[in-house]
Amino acid sequence: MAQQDDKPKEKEKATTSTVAEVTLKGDIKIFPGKPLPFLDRGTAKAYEAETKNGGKGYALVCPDNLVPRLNIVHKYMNAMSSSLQKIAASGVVEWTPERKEKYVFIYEGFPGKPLSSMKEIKSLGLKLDLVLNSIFLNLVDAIAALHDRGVAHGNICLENILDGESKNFENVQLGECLSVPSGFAQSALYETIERSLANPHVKGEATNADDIYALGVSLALMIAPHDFSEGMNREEIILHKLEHGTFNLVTSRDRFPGQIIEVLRGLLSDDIATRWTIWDIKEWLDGRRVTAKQGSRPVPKSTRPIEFKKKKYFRPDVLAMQLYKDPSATVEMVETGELYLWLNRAIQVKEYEERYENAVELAKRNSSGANYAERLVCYLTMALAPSFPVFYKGHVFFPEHFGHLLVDAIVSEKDLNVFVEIIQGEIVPHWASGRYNAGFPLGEEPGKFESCRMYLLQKSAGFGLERCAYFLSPSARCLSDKLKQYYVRSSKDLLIALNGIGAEKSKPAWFFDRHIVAYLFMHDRQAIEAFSADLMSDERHRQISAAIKIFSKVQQREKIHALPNLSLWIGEHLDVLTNRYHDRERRKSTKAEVDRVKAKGDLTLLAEIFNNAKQIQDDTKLFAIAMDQFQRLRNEHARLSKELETNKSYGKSTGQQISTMVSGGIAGLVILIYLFFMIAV
Amino acid sequence: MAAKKKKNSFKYRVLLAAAFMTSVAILATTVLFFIGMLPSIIARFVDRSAQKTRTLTITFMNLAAVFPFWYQLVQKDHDLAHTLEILTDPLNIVIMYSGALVGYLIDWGLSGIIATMMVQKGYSRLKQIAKMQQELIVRWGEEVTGELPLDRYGFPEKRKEET
Repeated sequence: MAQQDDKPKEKEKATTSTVAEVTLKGDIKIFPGKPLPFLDRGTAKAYEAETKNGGKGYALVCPDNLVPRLNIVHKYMNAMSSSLQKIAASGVVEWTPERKEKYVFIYEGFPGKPLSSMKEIKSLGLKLDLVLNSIFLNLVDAIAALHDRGVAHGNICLENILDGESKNFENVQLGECLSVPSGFAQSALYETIERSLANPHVKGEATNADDIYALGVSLALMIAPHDFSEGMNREEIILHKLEHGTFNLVTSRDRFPGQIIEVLRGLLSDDIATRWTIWDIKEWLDGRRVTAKQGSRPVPKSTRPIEFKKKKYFRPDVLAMQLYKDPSATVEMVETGELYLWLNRAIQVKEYEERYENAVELAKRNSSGANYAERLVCYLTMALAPSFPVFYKGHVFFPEHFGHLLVDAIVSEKDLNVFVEIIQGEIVPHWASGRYNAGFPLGEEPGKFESCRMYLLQKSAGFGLERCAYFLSPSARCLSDKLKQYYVRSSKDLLIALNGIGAEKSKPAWFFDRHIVAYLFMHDRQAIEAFSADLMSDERHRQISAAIKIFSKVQQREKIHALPNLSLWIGEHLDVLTNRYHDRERRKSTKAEVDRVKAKGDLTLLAEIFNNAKQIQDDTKLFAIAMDQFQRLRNEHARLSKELETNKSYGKSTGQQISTMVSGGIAGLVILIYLFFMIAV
Repeated sequence: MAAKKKKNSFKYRVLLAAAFMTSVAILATTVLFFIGMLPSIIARFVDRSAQKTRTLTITFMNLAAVFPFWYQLVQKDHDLAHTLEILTDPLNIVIMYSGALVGYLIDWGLSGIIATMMVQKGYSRLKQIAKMQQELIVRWGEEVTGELPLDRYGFPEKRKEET
């Protein structure tokens, strides 16, 4: 049976290995048929690669719905450590297996297999000397190099610590950390309590302290002979950490050697203030004594429990973790006054009571009947545990990475209304003020969300939720439906992508949509701002004129060579512009000029044809004169026709006048001749 | 208004009196012209045109025919007997009235020809106008006629559907 199962696998392998190689920048090869699953980072898949000098390497292909950490790539590249993965290149490739563009990171060399693959269980039970003298040293070197450059790794775990193909671990390396958001591929065990609560892609940027914590857990798992988290699920691990601390969890099964206990205590402190830094570790490695305090969270514990969903809770933060599971039970607990009484009589900490009262009042004030329960849960969670991420309608996130949440929802075509509610409501400002008052560090989230609230107030393209996504997540690609097959990260990429789309038979009718406009506003404001009013206008000729100007400006500035397909595509719309002339002869000559230029792919030349305000003015003036002339002719025609039809003696009076003159002339002549003869004779 | 009318009326009467006195003073001439230019006087009353051009045409030719007899009257004896002598000769009367007849013929013939020419010219102008209008439509489109509702840029409003 097993042999039978193997056959299709072999077949599959054979077909995938024949998949054509993908090239990056012309000379770096990626082999989609040669996956390296042990190097995958979550949904970011790893494949064998070949660097430009023919050396071995591997590629990590970034998933569509996640935002890679592009903002720290240059800092990462400057980090000097032999234990870090060396980036050979990064960029967009035409990923043939999916027939779409993907962002990839290429790393030099083959870093071996992850330490986690050594055993079935999580803990490795390695000798302490071996760990400290090789693996730990290498990891500290790598982390110090990153922290020196102001970068946190955010993906330190046994699955991402690679053996470097060395038997004694002397070449151990820290795996990559750029292809997915920090902490995305980290299990809850390696994450601090707060980060482990959040959804994987919205844990916020990892800090140096988070790296140290993950290093501590990794160290413990390398040494411990037994898996201290065995049989525990994610929630049980978090609960244990909350109630007893991480150090307690790590040391709950095995006794660690005395020399390492202090290190673990320092690394695994749940209080950031008392957690060691990379410099403390270096000092310790140098043989200096560094004292470690096991920091405990200043969370009160009651003697009398509160019951929620038939379970008893003694700590407000543990209770906060549960509320989202049953919003209606939470409402009941609030409305019966049970929760208030528990805080007032059992917890007896004034701040908790005040936060509770604020939360209930805010939920009542800001909620409609439908979402009251969800809002109440959200605000109460903040009140009971200000350090926790935001819990709202199934999303658990740190606002710092709210943009990533939006990007994922847009790519996955999820309902976006909940994000509008989050931005428009007071959820994030309230979370931030609670966090600030409780003494937790706070970033720029309140200001950014205020900007987003303003973007939502404006309905036109360039604003709205799309703008919020690109504002909060600047490394995100453009998520337009038109660009599904492309990985657009700049206005230059956009033009090249549109040129590609222009060659397709079933291309869309128009170049822009809300995503593209919002993306340009965020990433190339200069190109779009001057023409945005025309682009958003409901007059077709203004839209087309703006499109040409934007594209030509970008093409000129970025020195992009010919874009023939885009040029021809634009040409399909140009009748609207040529028809802006009243003068049909000018229309013909302009059309002829457009036909001559559009095949060249130079959008600047095309824009130049229509950069003609003076000609349009002249045309309008001449048209007005022609209209006036037409009216005069019409009046004359009507008058003359009527005269000819109705006046039977038409022209007679003129004839009579002429007759009179002739008669007068003849009479005068006769008299003069008579007088002449009479006088002469 | 009434005073002005009265004044005009007074002026008119003075002029009338002066004319009457003059015509009495030169009675021979008056009689010659009255009889000789009788067709013109009749034409004045028969002519219904606004500008009385026909009367003028007849009068001019009638005058040309009467003028030689008046010149003879002035050159010889300017008295009523001589006037009657001229007027009693039927040939003289025929000559005088023939002048008026020529005037009438000029009016009838020339004005007819000219009216026909004018009508032809009118029809050819109509054709020319239609041609010029067509040329304007070809160059500027149907909207130049002003019959289509136009948008603010001067294009037919149906273009909005295109946008």
